[in-house]
Amino acid sequence: MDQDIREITLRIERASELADRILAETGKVLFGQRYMMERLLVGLFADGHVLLEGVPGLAKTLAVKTLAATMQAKFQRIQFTPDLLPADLVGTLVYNQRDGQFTTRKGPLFANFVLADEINRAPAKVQSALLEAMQERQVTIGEKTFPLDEPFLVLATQNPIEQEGTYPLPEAQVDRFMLKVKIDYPRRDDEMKIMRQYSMSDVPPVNAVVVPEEVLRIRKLVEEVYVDPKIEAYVLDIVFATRQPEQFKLSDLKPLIQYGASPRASIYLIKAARAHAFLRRRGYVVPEDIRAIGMDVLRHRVMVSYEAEAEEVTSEDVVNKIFNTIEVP
Amino acid sequence: MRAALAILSAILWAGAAPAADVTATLSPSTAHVGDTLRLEITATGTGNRPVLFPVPTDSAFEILRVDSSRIAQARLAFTLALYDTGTFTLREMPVVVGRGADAETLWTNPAPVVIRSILPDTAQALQPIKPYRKHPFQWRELLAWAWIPALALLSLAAWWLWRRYRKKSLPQAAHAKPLLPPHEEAVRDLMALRDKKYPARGMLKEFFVEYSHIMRRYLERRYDFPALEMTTFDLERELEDGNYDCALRNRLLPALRASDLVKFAKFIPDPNGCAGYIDLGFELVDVTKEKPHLEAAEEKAA
Repeated sequence: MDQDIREITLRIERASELADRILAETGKVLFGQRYMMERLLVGLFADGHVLLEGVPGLAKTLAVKTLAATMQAKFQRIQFTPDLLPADLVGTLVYNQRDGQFTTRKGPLFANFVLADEINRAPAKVQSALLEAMQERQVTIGEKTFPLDEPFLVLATQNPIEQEGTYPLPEAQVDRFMLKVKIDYPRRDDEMKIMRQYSMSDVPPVNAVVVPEEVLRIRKLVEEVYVDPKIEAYVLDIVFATRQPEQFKLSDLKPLIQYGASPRASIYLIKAARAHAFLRRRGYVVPEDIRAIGMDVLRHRVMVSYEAEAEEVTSEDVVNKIFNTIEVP
Repeated sequence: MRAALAILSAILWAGAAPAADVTATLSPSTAHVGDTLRLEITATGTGNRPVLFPVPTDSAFEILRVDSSRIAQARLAFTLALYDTGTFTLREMPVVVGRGADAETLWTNPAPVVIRSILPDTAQALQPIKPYRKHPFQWRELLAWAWIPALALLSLAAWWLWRRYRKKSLPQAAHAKPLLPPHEEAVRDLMALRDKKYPARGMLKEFFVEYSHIMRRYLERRYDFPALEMTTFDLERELEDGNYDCALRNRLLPALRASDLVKFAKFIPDPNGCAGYIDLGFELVDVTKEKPHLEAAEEKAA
């Protein structure tokens, strides 16, 4: 192996002990959600926001709260409701009668981890305020712009059922999330553990085992994970297949895709694959990393057409077909 | 006595100045609804005195036209119409003769008219229904539908051309080389890879890229699963879960993992070891190749 990659791999093996610590702590209270926890760590280490989608009761909120609890970082939970206002997120200027001055009261976005619970229950203006902060990493209150703390990670949840009275996130805004993770029900044996644990009153406490600086250090390390040009070409093939499927022997997908994935998909695929390789203790990305993370990066970026909806073909079916057709390098 | 009185009167009348008189004539006296009627108001014995004629104001009568003329005596003519049935009478109308203090108002006579409806005469027998009129055949009408057979002919011609083109292209396809059996193709490609002498030229990455492609293509064609679209991890699961020769699991997978290292992690293996991978490829292909039915049956029996 190349000396640089060998060295990165060695450093990663040492640093991944931190990921193990986090997983061990979260494992105290979370059962059968390793996939979700890994994706949250991918988001954390790849510096990408994560949208969790699942029916109620699948521990989405608990997972995010537990992840935040494992870090000595500022955590804020915002319950999105229809009457929420942008100022409730970003903060506002308050008039001080004593000195006749306006003072800035910062909102809950000024935290390292922000849990936007049920993000689709707040109106578009609130979602826009949050998503702008996610993209720009800064918030403007009045005439003053404040940079957000690092690491800054938004973990949002939404419920795919009970859509009445909700404000579904527009495609352009969902695109800001690096990953859209779909949570499924736990297996039988995992649910047995959940049942036993949570039928008792004493749930083990989660300890803070990581500091924000360590996360920033790992992010730097993740950026050093080697991506071969062959892997980059594979990513481009996949992304371009969502836009021009006919050029990849996927002509049957052409009428099913309204819009293909944006360049942000290519960027996030590589970033997320690096973080995934880190979690697998590798200093280089293999096609398996792309395959493993691809669905979560692409499912919300491929817009299916009306014809696809009529035929009950989802964006996941389209992405699966692309992955099963594009030759692995 | 009577005769004497008549003669006396005649003499007295002849000696007196002529008196003015006006008459109104409506003709015809019997008409149908909507027929035009002519009304003439005539003033006689007016001398040189001006005459002011009236205009009929009876609402039942509609004035279509007014004709005025003065020939020997004062006369005014109207064209009228009636749109109701029944008996109507044009009432007396005043005619002013003279001007100023000499003016004299004379009254016309009433003019009756009978208006009848124009209902069909049902007394007559009904006419029998006429038969359909036969339209003579015209070639021009047929031309309007000529596009249908023309389209059919064109379609037929297109189909015939397509058949002809396909028939021509079929022999070309027949000339295409048939695919070799998977093991023969793999052996041929492995030999070609060995002949390229990549390791000796320092092209180790190219060697492993081609090597893993050959082995994956062999697996895909031999066992009919999409090995070329699978990652090494996917292949591992496939070979572990499926009913495959254990040599593939135990010996091919490590080779593919090593290939991944070279391909994606800049791993530089010992160039002298590359020949070993080629030999392994030959061996695995030989062990796992599809055997003829007879040979397979003998092997099973043994």
